[in-house]
Amino acid sequence: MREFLYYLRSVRAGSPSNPSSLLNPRSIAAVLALSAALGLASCKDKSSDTSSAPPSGGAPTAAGAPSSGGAPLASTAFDKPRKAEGDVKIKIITNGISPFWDSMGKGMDVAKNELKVDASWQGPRQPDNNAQKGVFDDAVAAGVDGIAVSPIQADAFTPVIDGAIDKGIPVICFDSDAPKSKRLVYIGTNNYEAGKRAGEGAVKLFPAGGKLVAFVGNMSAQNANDRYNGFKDAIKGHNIEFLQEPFQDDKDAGRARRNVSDAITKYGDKINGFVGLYSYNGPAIVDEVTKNNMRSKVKIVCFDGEPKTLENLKNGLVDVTVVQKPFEFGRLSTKLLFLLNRKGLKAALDEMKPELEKAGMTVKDNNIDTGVDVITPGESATKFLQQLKEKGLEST
Amino acid sequence: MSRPSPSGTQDALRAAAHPTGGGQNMMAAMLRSREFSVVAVLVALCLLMPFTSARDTFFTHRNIENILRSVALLSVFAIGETIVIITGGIDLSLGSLIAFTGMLMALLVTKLGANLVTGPAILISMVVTLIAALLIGGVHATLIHRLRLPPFVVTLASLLLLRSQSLLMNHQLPIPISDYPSLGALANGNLFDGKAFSIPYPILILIVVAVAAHFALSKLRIGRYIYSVGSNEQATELSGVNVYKVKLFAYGASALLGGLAGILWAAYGGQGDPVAGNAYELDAVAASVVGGASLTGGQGSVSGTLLGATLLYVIFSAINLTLSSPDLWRGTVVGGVLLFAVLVTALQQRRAR
Repeated sequence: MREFLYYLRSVRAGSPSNPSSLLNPRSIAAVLALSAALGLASCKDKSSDTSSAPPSGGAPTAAGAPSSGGAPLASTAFDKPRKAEGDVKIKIITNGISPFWDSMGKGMDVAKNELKVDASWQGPRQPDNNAQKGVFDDAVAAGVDGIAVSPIQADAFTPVIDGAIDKGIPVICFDSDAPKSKRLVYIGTNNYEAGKRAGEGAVKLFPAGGKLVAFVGNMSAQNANDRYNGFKDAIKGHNIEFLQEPFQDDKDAGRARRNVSDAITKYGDKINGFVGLYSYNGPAIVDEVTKNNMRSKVKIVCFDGEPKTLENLKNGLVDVTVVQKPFEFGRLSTKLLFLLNRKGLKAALDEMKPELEKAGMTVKDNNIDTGVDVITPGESATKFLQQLKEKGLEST
Repeated sequence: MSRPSPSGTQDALRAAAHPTGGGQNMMAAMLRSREFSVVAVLVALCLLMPFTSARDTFFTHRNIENILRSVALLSVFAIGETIVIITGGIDLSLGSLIAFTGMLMALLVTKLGANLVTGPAILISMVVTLIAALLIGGVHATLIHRLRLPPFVVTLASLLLLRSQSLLMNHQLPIPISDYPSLGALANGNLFDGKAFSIPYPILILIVVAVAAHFALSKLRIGRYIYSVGSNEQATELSGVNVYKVKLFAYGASALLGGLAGILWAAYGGQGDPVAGNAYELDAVAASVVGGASLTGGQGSVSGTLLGATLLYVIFSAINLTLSSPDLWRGTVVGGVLLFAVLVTALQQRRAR
């Protein structure tokens, strides 16, 4: 850091007639350090951008770990109506900017128009904890009546959430949980279950067993681990196995492609199936498999609905894709925070429960698992794409 | 900390202008050159491969083709970065520029393709994209030279600006261009496809770019000025050289090649991708530095950068094909190679003194 300050000083004081002198060896360290930091920051960006990983983006707490089930209701203070009439102002805070959040925003808009509530969403400019805290603090200062947040670092964000709760502002988590905080409800995908559903899809595709390779952004992210473990648990005992640990690409689409190519080089015809754990891994697999004319010999299982994945689905180039419901994250968060203000927490959950369960979602204590859709080519794909179109979504 | 000595500069100039001297001197110079040490490491790596678990896969046709394609996709813009580095500057905008130009091209081609015949639509989109890239380079050079702003900050601002503009272009969504297979073939296709000696198209593009850049740097006056600006800008300016023009050339070339890379990356992935190219400018810097470029300016070469890029991807491929958790080792190996390269340079310079 000192190197960087040194660099800045030399910029200010320095001889502007000779900018090249600014790049002396000492400041090179600063150059590289800073650009590395920027690179890292934007790398994280990608995690959310590609929607794959909406999720916890490395948050240490399990968004959907099987065991993260409901903590007892933190506070009864919210069981009474908070604002029985008048305008209700709601803020939804994402972990960054991405197409995934675009779908979420469309869901928010639906609830907003239906309930006549003043709702808006915002992501931190940089996907880091402090930037997100800034957005959160602004919302608190603006006097909103409810906040839904997808914390980037659950543990670091816990005191922030608790502070708002203590001030009487209802806070819920969506997409990624902060289970140790006093947040009132968690709405999101159980990634372990999502992985399990994908694994069950694989079991159907390989009745006699098979060998697979998996691709992912970072295995250090909780959502990646949950998906992978769920998948592995589902294929246990079905003679299906992975040839090696997943190839990782740091959320770089170019590297994702090269990894698939290297996997084909490394294992060739030994591979019976490809698994793309993050959203952009699906398209990378399809591109490389098509290029190598392997489509007829292998099966492809992937996650999420990037525009290209939806196109591949239409053309029958993937066999299974497991999609989350970001649209519902936005719609349900808005609706719940509104009802909570009008009627209190318990009454709000009770009122929403039948609707949620009818839609195949699981409500347990104060956890709402929005579930996933398992889409296969053909009728299921046509129906799914039609539904997306009706909601005005280009991806999910 | 010290600037390269004038004699060192002369050496660099001479070495750049006449890569081959004569007789024994030539031999000694070759052994000392960075290109030679990179080739030595490359050869050592290749000799090692038959003794690893990748013995049957590393030298396969498809792996070599894959490495070549990756090297080409990186080198195309790393060469531009090298030219800027030789002038003593740096271009940090390249990663975002790749996303921006890729998005721009995809946007144009889908809009134009709706009304025009495919061929002209693709051609016009590419030309407009390259012109836009060139203009961005021109703005960089002007801000850096006319307003005396540091290259680091100017191109850093571009890095942020262009990324955000790419995200804004289609509401953060990628723009698929799979309806234009000829465009995809530009990056994914091969010359003599299916034959034993199939050559990825990006390699052909790279050859044209590399030959042109090498020619400009070693045979043209502008090339000598580029090295000279990097060695001692004030002296160059005082001797009557129009340094602004030199920088226009350098930053223009860098941005133009970044735009070309943006088109190729979009073609490669079948979509304009607003999050493409993240931190790729650092790969370009790494390839240049491994290839002998010095961030203090005045040193670097096209052949060095090509070898640097090749070494990087040969290492990536070797790691991927041998280790079962390759990605955890990647940074260690690449960081090690980078440090080693800089160390070798430092030692060579010390001995030269």
